[in-house]
Amino acid sequence: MSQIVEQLKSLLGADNVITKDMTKYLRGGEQPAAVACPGTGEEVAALVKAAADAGVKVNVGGAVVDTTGLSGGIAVVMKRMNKILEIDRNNLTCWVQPGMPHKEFCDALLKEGLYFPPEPYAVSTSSVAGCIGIGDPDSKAFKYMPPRTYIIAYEMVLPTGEPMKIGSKCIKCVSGLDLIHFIAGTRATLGIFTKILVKLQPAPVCRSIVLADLPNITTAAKAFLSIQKRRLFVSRENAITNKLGQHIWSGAKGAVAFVDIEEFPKANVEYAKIVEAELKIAGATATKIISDEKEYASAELGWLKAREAVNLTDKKVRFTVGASNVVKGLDAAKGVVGALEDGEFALIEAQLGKVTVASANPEADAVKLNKAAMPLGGNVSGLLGSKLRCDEYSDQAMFDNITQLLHNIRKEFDPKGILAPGIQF
Amino acid sequence: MGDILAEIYEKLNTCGRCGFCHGACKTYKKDGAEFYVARGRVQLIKALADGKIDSDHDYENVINSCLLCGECAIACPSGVKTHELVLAARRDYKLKKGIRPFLKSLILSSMTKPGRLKFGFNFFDGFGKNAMRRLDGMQFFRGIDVYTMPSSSNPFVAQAPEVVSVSAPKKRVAFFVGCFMNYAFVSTAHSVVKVLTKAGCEVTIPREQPCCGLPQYVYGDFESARAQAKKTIATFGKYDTIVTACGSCASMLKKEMLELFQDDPSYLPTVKAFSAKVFEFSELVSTLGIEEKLHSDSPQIVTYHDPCHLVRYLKVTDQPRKLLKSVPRLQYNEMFEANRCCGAAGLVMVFYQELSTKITADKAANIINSGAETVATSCPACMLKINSGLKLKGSKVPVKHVADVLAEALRD
Amino acid sequence: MTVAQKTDQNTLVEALINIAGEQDVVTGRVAMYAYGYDATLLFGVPRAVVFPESTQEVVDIVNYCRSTGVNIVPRGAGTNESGGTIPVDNCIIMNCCRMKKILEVDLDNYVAIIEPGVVNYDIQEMLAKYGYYYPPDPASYKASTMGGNVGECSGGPKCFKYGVTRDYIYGMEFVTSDGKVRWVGGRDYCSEPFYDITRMMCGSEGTLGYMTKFAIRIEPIPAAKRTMLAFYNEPVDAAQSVADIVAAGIVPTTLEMMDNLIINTAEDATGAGLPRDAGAMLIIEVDGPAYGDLDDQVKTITEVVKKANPKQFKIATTAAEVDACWLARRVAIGSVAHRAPSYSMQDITVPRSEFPQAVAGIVQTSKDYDLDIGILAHAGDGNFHPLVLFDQRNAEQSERVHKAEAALVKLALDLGGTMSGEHGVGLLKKPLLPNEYAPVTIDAFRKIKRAFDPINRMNPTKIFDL
Repeated sequence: MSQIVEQLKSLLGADNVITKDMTKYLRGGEQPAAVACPGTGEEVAALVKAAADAGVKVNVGGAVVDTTGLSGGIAVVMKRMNKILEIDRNNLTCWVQPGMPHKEFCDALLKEGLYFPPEPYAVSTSSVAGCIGIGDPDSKAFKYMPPRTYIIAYEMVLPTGEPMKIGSKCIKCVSGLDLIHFIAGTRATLGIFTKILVKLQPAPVCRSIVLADLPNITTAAKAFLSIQKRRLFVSRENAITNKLGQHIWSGAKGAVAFVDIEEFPKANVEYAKIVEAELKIAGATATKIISDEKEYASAELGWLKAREAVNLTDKKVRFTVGASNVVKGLDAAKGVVGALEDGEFALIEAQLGKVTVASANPEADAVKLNKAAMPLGGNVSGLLGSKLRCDEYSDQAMFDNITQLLHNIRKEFDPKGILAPGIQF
Repeated sequence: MGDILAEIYEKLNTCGRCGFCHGACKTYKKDGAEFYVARGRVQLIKALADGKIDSDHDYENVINSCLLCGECAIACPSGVKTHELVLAARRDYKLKKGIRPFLKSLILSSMTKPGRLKFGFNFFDGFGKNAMRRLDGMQFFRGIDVYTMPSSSNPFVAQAPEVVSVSAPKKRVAFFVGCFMNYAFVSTAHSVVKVLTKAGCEVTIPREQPCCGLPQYVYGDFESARAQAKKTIATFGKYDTIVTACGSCASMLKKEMLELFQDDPSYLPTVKAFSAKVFEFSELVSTLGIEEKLHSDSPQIVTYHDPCHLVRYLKVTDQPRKLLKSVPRLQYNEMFEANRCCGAAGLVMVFYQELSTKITADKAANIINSGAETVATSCPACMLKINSGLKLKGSKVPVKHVADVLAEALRD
Repeated sequence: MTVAQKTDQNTLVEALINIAGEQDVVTGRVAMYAYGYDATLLFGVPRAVVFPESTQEVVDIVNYCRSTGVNIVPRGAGTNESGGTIPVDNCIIMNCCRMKKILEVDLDNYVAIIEPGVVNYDIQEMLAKYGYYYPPDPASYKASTMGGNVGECSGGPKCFKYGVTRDYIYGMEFVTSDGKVRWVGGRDYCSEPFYDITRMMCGSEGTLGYMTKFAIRIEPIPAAKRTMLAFYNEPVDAAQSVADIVAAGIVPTTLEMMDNLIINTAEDATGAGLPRDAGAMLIIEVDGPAYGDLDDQVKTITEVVKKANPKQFKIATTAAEVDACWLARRVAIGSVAHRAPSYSMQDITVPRSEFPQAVAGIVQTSKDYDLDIGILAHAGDGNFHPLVLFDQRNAEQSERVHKAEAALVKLALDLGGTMSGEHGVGLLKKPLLPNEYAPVTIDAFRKIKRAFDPINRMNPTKIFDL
C-alpha cells in the first residue's frame, strides 16, 4: 500500500498527497491510504494508471470524497482543478475544470450575464463535475431540463488510465454513440472528468421569487396544481415543511412555498401576481414577492441550503408521482411515514412531481411508497425504483436483465473494478 | 427499357427518396408497406426501367393499387407527380402484357358497351343482390355495402325526357350523366336536373351517353379511351354548355382528354374546344344565382368530402362548399382531412378491397367526428364507398350529392 | 464474426411467418428492392421484411435470428439520411410501422406512452386537439416514425430552444440481441436505473437493441408565437443577425437560413415571390407567454436585423403569412431536384461563432470541386445542410461529390465542430468517423456496443465495426 502512496507522491508532488488529517476531505467510515490532489489532466491519468496497475481502488470528489469501499484506496480530491478555463460568449459555452465549486461557478457566470441552470446538489461542497456525475434532475429541470442536457463535451480519464475526449462546442451532435450525455449520472464509475464543456444560456432578463407561508405542505401542493392548470410554468415550484423552511424564510409559521419565476419582464410581473393569488387562495397566511437582486440571492441560497440538508441525509425516501398527483402523493406519504409536519422534512418539487420525505426506515418505506406512487404515475427514483417497479410486476427477470446490463457496461470500461467502489448495483 | 419508361425516366430520377410522400399516401398508411407508397412505386418503376426487377404480379399490384389521388404530388418537395408516372407505367404494362386479370379487362371493356353495362347492373339489381342477401355475412362484399348499394333496372336516361324545358331559359345545357349515375344513382341524376331547371336552365339529356373513357385511360388502355372520347365529342360537341355531376367524368372531359390527344395535333383543337365547354355541376350552378330560391324547414349539419378529381385535378373546392352554405339553416362543419381520398379510386376498391376499405374507414371516422348529420360530395363513386364505410361503422349519416342537398331545398 | 452457413431461405421465411403471421412477413424480389434504399444513395437487399406487432413477436424474432445467425436491421419509414436502415449481409429488416398504437396520453402529467411505429405527425395531430405538442419535429415529421426519430435522435428546426429527441424521451422498452426485454426510465426525469440507458439508446441507430415502447414528454403549446422573415445580401449578414439576437439574450425557437441557390430552387418550386437576388434568407421565430414580451423581443430583433442591412424584413401577422414564411423552407431540400437529379446532403455542425467561416468554406469547397452546393442551415445550432447537386449516373462527378463530402466533414472538424448534428453516422459517414474521434473514443463506443450486443446481431456494421 505504501508503495502506491510513494508513487503518487513522485507523480503529484509530496504536498499534494495527504496521508494525515484526511477527515475534512472524507465522508463515510472507511479509511483510504491517501488523499491525492492532482492539478492537471495528465496527473489524473498517471494517478489512475498507477492505481489500475496496482489494483488499488479510487474514488473522486470535488471537495469531499465518499469512502464507502475505499479502505486502503485513494481518495482523489479535485480542489486544485477548480478554475474556469474559457468562457465563450458567442457560443454560450464554458470549459471548466471538474473541481470548480458549483455555486461559485454559477455566480461567476451570472456576473458575465450567462447562466448555468442546474442547481448544486449540496451547495457548500458540490463541484461542477459532481453535478454532472450525480446527474440529479434538480428542481429547475422541468423548465431547463436535467443536468445531462448541459454537458456537451468533456475530457476524462478512463479506469484504465487512458485519457479520452468527446464532444464539441456544437449543441447538436449525433456522431457516434451518445457517450456525451450518457456520462451524466455515472458517478465516476466509468472515468474521472478532467475538463468539462457546458452549454450555457443567456442570463434571465428578470427574476423574482414568490414566497408563501402556508398551514401545511399539502396546501402548497394544491396551489401549485391550480397554477399548472392555468398552464403557467415557472423555474422552480417547491415547498418544504417548516423546519427546513426556516432556511428560506426564517420566522415562517408553517410550510414554505418557494416559487421562482424567470421570464421576460411583463410575463414576470403577471406570473408573480397569479402565483401569489393562487397561494393566498390555497390559504397562505403571508406571502412575499422578491424582485430585488440581493434578496433574491439570499432566498435562493436559503433554498439551496435546505436542498443540501435533504440531499445529504440517507434517512429519506424520494419518489415521483405525476405532476398533477402531488397532493395524492403527499397523502400516501402521510400514510407511510406519519404526519409530514412532525417529521424532519418533507419536500415537493411540484412541476416534476417529485416528493421527498424523511423516513426513519427508508428501505421498508420505499417499498410502501413505491406501491402508492405507481398508480399515481410515478415510482421511487433511481435503481431502487427500477427494482421495486419490477417487484410490483413479479418480474425479477426484468430487474436481473437491467442490472446485468449495468454490470456489462461497467465491466467493459473498468475491467479491474477500481473506480467508485462505493457504487454497487 | 420500354419507350414509355424511357420517356418518363428523367421524372423517375427526380425522386430523391426523401420519403416525404409517406404522410400523404393513403395506401401506405394502411399497413406501412414501402412498395405501396409513392416513393416505392417510383423506385420500382425505375427499377423496372433499369432492368433490375421483372414486371411480375407483385409489380402489377404496385402500380394498380395506386389511388391516383394525387396527394403525393402535393407533398413532394421535388415536384414528382407519382400519379402521372404510375399512369405511364400502367400504359407501359398494358402495351407489353395487356390488361389482366380477366375480370378487370371484362369490366373495362363492358363500360365501353352500354348494352353489356346495363345487363350488369340489371343482373345485380335482380338476381345478384338477392342472391347475396341470402348468404349470411355477405352484407359487405369487398367493403361495399351490398344491401343498400343502389342500382336501377331502368337507367336514368330511359326515365327522363330528352329535353326538360323551362320558360325563358337563361341557359341551355347538355347533361353528361356518367355511367355510375345513369345506372346506379338515378335519383341524384334527377336532383341534378331539378336544380338546373330551377336555376333557369333548359336541360338536354342526349339519349346516347357514352362512357367518358377514364376507367380505360387509368389502366393504360389509351386506344379504348380515345375511341370513347371521340364518341363523347361526337354526341356532346354540338352543345354550348355541357354539365356533369360526376367528379371523375368532369376531370376526364376537362383534363385527361387533353392529355390523351397530346400527340394528335389534328384532333387536339377539337378536344380543346370541347373541354372548354364542360363544367362540373357545382362549378356551373354556383354561377347561376340560385341562392334566393333555397328554402329549408329544419336546421341540419352538413360536411363535405372533396373527390380527388375535383380537389387536385380540377381544383374545384370552394364552389360546392359555397353552395352548401347558401342553404338556409344549414350549419356547415368542415371535417378533418376533407380533401383526402375516400378509397374508392375506380377499380382499386374492387381489386384491392382490403386496402380500400381501411382507407374508407378513416374517412368515415372523420365524417362521424365532424358531427355532421349529412355528408355531401360530388362524385357517385365516393358516395358509394363512403356510404359503405359509414354503414360498416354502424353510422346512419346519409351520403348525398351536393345536387341532392340543393334539390331538397328547392320547392316544387 | 463468422456465420458458418446461411439458413435456407424457405426455413427462414417459414419461421418468421410462424412468429409474425403471413400478413406481416414480406419477401419477393419486387418488395425486397423497395426495402433496399433509404433517403441516401446507398442500396442493399434484405432476405425478408418482417413487421412485428408486439414486443413478444420482437423477442421471438430476435431469438430466432440469434440462433440462426441472421442479422437484424431495424427500419421505420426509411427516411434517414445516413444509410442507417440499409440492409447488410444476411439480414432481415425488422419494420416498426405496424406497432403504431398510442397507448396512453396523460396530459395533466405531460407524458404519453407510444409504440415505435407511430408517426411523429400523428402525435402532433392528436395532441393539437388538446393544445399540446411534442416539441421535436424533424423535417420528415409527416413521414418518419418515432422509432426512427429516437434511433437517430432527430433534431429539427426548434432545437435551439427546445432541444432534440433525446431530451423528450422519459423512458423506453427495448429488446436486446439476447432476446431480453428491459424497461428503462419512467414517466419523468428521475427514474433511470443508475446509468441513463435511455440516453444511450437515443441515437444508437438500432445498433444496441430494438425499441418497442417509449414514454415521451409532451408540453402545452406556447401561448404566443411571432414569425419573422429577413433577406440579406450575404450569408455573413445573416450570421451577424443570429449572433446579435443571441447576444441580446433572446433564445428563438427557430433560426433557419437558406442561401441564394436554395432561395432560387425554392422559388422554382413554389413561385412564392422570393427575391432571387438575395444572398441569404433567415426565418426567425420566438415563442412564449402572451403578456406582450414577444412584441418587445420582435422590436429588439427588428433593430438587430436592421443593423445587418437586410434587403427585406417582414413580420408575419396572420397565420397565412406565417405559412408563407415557412413555405420556402419546407420545400427547400426537395426543391433542388429542379436543378439536378441527385443530391448529397450533409449535416455538418460547427460552433455558432464559426458560422461565417463555415459558409466561406462551403463556398470554397464548391469551387474546389466544381460542384453546385446549396446551403440550408439551422443557424442557431450551427447545423448546416450543404446540398451538393449532381447526377448519380455521372461516375466522374459522383467521385468528386464523395471527395467534396469528405472535404466538408474536414471543414467542420477543423472549425471545432462535428460531422453529424442530426442525421447520424450509419454507413454513409462511417468511414469518416476516425477523423472526428481518437481510437480510444471509438473504442469506448465498442465497449458500449459489446455490453448491449456482444454477438453483433443488431444493425451490424453501422456507425463503426465491432
